[in-house]
Amino acid sequence: MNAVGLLTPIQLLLIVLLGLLFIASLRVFKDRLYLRVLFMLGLTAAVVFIVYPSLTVYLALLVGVGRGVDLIFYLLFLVIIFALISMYRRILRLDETLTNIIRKEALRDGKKLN
Amino acid sequence: MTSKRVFILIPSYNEANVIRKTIASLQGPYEIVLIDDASTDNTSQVVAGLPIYYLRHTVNLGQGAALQTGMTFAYQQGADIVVHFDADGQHNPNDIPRFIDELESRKLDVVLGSRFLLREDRVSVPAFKQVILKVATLINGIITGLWLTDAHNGFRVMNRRSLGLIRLKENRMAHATEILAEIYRHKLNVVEMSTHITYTDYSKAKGQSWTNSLNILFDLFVNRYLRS
Repeated sequence: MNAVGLLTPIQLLLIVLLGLLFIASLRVFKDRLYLRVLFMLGLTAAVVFIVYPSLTVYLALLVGVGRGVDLIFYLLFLVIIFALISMYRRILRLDETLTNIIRKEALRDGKKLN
Repeated sequence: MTSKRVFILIPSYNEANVIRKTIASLQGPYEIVLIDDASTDNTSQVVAGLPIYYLRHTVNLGQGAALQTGMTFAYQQGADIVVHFDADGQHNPNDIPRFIDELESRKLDVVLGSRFLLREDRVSVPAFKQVILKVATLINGIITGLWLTDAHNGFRVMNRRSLGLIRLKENRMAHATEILAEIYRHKLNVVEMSTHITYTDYSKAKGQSWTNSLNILFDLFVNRYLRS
């Protein structure tokens, strides 16, 4: 917060964007409670950090990172890697399902040509 | 020769130019199963009317998937012995009875072809490929526990018992390592026998580049650590 106790333009902008993200997420994680909870926690944390940026510095120093932004960056990196791996696993499962369907069809329709 | 039902599995992807010749070279009391892995050429027309089983994947899945489809099919059809045979004609059809005799007389589960048991087989392998294959045998040994002289040799003969136990999940080329892991896991009796691979310009062009071995390693890693 600035001297007059109001949010700066960038803080306002970020919070509005997060709000939109929140609305979008209501549709995306419809059937997965744990993802939704994680996402909500993430959003809440983001809002808190936007309103009180000095908090990140405090946390960063606590875990031995020099700057607050760096800490956020490292966390973001971990989250993205985790998301990528989960998505890749999902693709693998889809791959397996697809293989089974195609194999079933091939076995059913396989025939002697002559 | 054996009185048992022998199924020859030929996974095939866009091999219309050579597939008839390869099939014609397989003289014997064999049932031939062509697994067309969603070829985009005229494979299906080329083989029309031949006395073979024709199975087709509607979407291209890879050689491993095609082999597994063929193995499941052969199992359902009551096969006693199954032969893996490449579509491009680089394997020697005369090896088939030799391998089957070995399989039966020594009561083995699997006989794998190797290009590295006889000097004359080895020297016909391009030098760079020899190096890659030797590295691959090392990696295969470490990963699967099965130490062999050759790697990724597509010529294999197995009995019905193996057919019922081996399950390939690797749809692409890593199946060649996976099959060794399966042999090891089920404690199947396996030996290697010498086999000669004929490297034609065609088979070399269709064959894999060494860079694909990196893809294979990636697939193996994924299969081991990411698949649930």
